[in-house]
Amino acid sequence: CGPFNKLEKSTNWEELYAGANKYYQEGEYNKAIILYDKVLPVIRGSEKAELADYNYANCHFKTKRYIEAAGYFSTFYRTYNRSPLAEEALFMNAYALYLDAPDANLDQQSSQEAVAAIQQFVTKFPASASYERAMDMLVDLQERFELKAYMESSMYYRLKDGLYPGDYYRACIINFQNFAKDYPESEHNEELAYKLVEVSTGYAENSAYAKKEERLKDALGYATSFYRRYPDSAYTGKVKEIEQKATEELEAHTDLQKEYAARVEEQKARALENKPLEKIENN
Amino acid sequence: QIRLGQSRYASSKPIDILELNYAKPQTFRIAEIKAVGLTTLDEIAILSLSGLKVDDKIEVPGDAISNALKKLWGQGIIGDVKILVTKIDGEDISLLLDLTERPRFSRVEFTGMNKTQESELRDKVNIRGRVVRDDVLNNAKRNIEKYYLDKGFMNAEVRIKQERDTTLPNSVKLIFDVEQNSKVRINAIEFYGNKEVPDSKLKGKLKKTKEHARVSVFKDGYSRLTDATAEDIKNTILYTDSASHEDVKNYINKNFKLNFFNGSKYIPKEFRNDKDNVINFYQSKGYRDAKVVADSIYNFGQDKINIDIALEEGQKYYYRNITFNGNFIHPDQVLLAKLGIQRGDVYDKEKLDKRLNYDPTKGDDVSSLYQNDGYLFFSIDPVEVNVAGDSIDLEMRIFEGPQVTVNSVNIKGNERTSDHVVMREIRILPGQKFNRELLVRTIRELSTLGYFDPEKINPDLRPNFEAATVDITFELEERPNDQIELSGGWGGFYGFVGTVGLSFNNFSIRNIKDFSKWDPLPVGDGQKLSLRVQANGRSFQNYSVSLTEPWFGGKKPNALSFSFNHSVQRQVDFYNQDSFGDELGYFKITGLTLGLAKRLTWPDDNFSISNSLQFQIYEFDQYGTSFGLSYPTGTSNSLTWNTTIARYNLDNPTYPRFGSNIILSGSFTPPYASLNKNLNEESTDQEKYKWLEYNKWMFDASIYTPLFGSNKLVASARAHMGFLGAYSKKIGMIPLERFVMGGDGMSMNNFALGQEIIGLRGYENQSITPGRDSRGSADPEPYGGIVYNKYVMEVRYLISPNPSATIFVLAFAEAGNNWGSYQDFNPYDLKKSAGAGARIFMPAFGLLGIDWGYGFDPIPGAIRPSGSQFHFTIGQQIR
Repeated sequence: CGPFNKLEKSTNWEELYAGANKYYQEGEYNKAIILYDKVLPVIRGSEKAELADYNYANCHFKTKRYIEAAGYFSTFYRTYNRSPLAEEALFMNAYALYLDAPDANLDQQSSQEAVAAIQQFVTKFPASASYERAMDMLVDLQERFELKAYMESSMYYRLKDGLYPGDYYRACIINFQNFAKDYPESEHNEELAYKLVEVSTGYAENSAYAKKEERLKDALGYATSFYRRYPDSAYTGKVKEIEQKATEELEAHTDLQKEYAARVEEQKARALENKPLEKIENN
Repeated sequence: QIRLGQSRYASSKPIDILELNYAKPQTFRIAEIKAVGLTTLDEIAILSLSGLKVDDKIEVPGDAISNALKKLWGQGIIGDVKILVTKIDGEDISLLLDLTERPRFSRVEFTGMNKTQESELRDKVNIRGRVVRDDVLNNAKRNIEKYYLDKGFMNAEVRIKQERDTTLPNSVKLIFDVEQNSKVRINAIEFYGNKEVPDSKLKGKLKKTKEHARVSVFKDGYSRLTDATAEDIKNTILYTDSASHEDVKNYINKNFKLNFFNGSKYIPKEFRNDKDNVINFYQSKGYRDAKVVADSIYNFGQDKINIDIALEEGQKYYYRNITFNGNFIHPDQVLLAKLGIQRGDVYDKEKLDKRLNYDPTKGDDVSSLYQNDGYLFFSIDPVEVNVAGDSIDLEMRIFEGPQVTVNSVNIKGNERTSDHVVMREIRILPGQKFNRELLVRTIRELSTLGYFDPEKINPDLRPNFEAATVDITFELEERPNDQIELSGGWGGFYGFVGTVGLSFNNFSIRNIKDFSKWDPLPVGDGQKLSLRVQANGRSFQNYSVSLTEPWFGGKKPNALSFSFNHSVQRQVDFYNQDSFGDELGYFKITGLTLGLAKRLTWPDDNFSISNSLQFQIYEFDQYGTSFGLSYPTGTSNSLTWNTTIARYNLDNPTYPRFGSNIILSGSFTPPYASLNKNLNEESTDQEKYKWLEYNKWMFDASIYTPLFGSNKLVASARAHMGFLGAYSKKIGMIPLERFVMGGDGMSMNNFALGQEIIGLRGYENQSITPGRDSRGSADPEPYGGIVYNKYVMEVRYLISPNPSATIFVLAFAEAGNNWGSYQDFNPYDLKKSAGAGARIFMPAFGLLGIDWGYGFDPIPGAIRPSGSQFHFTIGQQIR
């Protein structure tokens, strides 16, 4: 039985409290947590409670239990919002959530919580020494959201070469435009604007006769807005190429429509002349 | 009364701040704040907790004061608190916190229970550190009583003892002394007022409130004998009254209650639900007005209760006229046909609801007409416009709404699995018209991935009526999906028998270099890594490794797999246990396989095709004759191309209720004999089998369908067959890669290398195999069949759908046979068996099963039927 095990069984609150603080100072955070667990409910409301509560939260932080740490720091802030440690606690709450935030390819719910916590911190303590750090964290998280959305766009773009091209062409068209709406400042917008021209043309080319004209015109529209937004883009050449193709396609389609209309007229005329032979009416 | 601004009146006596009734709030500066009435608590700490500080500007009355009170109360450590105003001097206010301390619970102990219950209760009753107050105590007591009630201990008694805690001032040690008393069981449930539906049927509708299991037929028989008079006996012997069907049923009901799987606890919440179930049942039979008028629960002896339920059935109703209103897109006839309800049908609210809104069995209901075509806002409201006698006229009020396009599709809850691994499986995409069928299909396919709890996949739809768009978020919950297969034992002279298998179903090659992503191995990219070692002492070992990337190239679901396999089988000397091992010979197979499986879109997108190339080396050492080869030692090689076409559309991989799985596969080796002119029928076996030449065809089909519309009772039918073929007479049928049949179908229990193992319950492992008895004889017949057929019928019942331990029981009848030549092949000559079994699926261990089967036919060479056999299985047996 080491001294810790002996202490753990003790019912002397003073001793437990002193022991917890000692282990905390020595960096034995796991042991400190066990002792604080025992002593915290009892010392609640005493002058010892404040620091002990803070240390307890910090023990969790130091042992990388970020979710718990964030919870305890946040409770600390709510309980002792006049404490000199309050500012630090609110920052640590945000920081713990930030460290816990997962990579861009996973669910970003905890990142959203981190963003909320950072925003709370910077509004409450705009003069804090940690303000810059908090803002850096915020920027980093926002870049993560943007990267996630960009990876989603890239995935749709990749899957258009897969089993269901039509469905994914359409998904790309909607998704790329949503990306531009959600992240107007993103550097990926130029590339996606070019790809939008590409996928909308691809979509139109593979469309049924009745839908082709409208979709080709949409594609040409995307090309025009591309030139307007990115006058000297590295993609301009490629866009021009696609535009050229789409225009030709549209011309061919218009010719086809004219030819079709002409034939219908011809049939009609013939039907009028020679009623009993052909029974083609308003086709 | 104190008035604003007239501070000179306020200075004399402290006043409770809440009693100040100001005409309008005023802002003060706190000039002084103190706390009184504290014995163990600390003044500074209390003031800090209150959130009030000298120099604060506060409004009175205002939030600051009520917040301070709330915070102090919220700590649960004080008996009472008042905030008093001691002085108001212009803008300055002096406050005094008048606190009353109460003793606090420093320790809580539980007696009269086991450790598990204690730790569960400790979580439920968390009052350490709180003040001693009656409501806190009563709450705790109620929680404990409820905890026991839910476990069926209806008469549990909770006594509370309070003792002074000597280690801490002003504190109390609390002891909850619990006397559980015996569990209360439901003895009998009695229904009154039911004329149209028998008791037994209604009892069946009480899903969680069940009578206690009883088999009292012996007791009954005994009492009949002892109570019988001579007259009775004479009557019984001389006259045999024919017992009516109803009599038999009543007798059975009274004396048998085979209720071993369900508890007979009384849980009030479940009982309330069950009463609703009964009423729902009545309503489904047309009794629209049925209701429970009274129920009573009373003691029956020490530890049993009886339940009486009084019902009013009311009248049975039928549909008369059904009209539609508000439909512009689909005409009345179409809707009526979809509805499938006609004038004169029994008025069934439940069925009506299903047919209108969502029919889970096929998804083919009135709403599907609209909701599979973008009309997300579609709603249909059946209104009883006229009730005349037993007839009801219904008007369907329809709102069609706009055609909605999907704007975005997202996922939530993937804490381990990468977005793209999930997103690429989603069928409903931005830009599409909303489609309920695709949504349901996506849910099904996401659950097949295995990474998420299938019961918790939930699509969250956020429609925008103005823009006619919808944002879809699939809410997911990750569940562990890695499987560990561990089994072992000590098997007589074989020594240790065991398997260690690890399947990592969500492996990530990309994350190997990043140690922070290891959990316990790198996860998140949906790749599958399996490692397996099987050993049976020195007589059998198998090592295998395989790695699969399900979306090779990232554009299409083309699964690329690579696997390595090495097996050793050694001869065992049954008479001399010390000398088995290499000196008696061995058989080794080492193989490499590279495969690519593709999902197809034609004929429909449940089809897939896979191709693989396998290279294998077979090494015999004094072993060849066991297979029917004429030489004992040597080496054979094979290079096999396999093409498999499969169609898979089961709704759930662990407990399929609906759908089918069909697999057709063909394997081919190059035709060496036609390439090599020196080979002929006279060649030695060494030459003939240097490179194996054969083709093999396998067919497996299974279908599942729910019985009686239940989602627990499922029927399944399976058919399996296999054919081995040769290209030319020069080589003939090879002695390897043949079929061995019988038993559990597990490769581990059969130790049959270079063969295809087919299970047949009710018969011993490998017992139905041609050439079986000629092993080791002078002119051996090749071991194993070249054509086999097998048919299985199974009825399954799901006992526990819990994904952490899915349990089901099954009854089966199957038949199969295995022939050594096509001349003998007779698909009507089958070995039949029947039996029952149980399966449990746990995500970490896979499927574990036990079956008992009775073989009705003799195995080859025997006269008597195979008889009763037990089989244990680990993992899914395909055949």
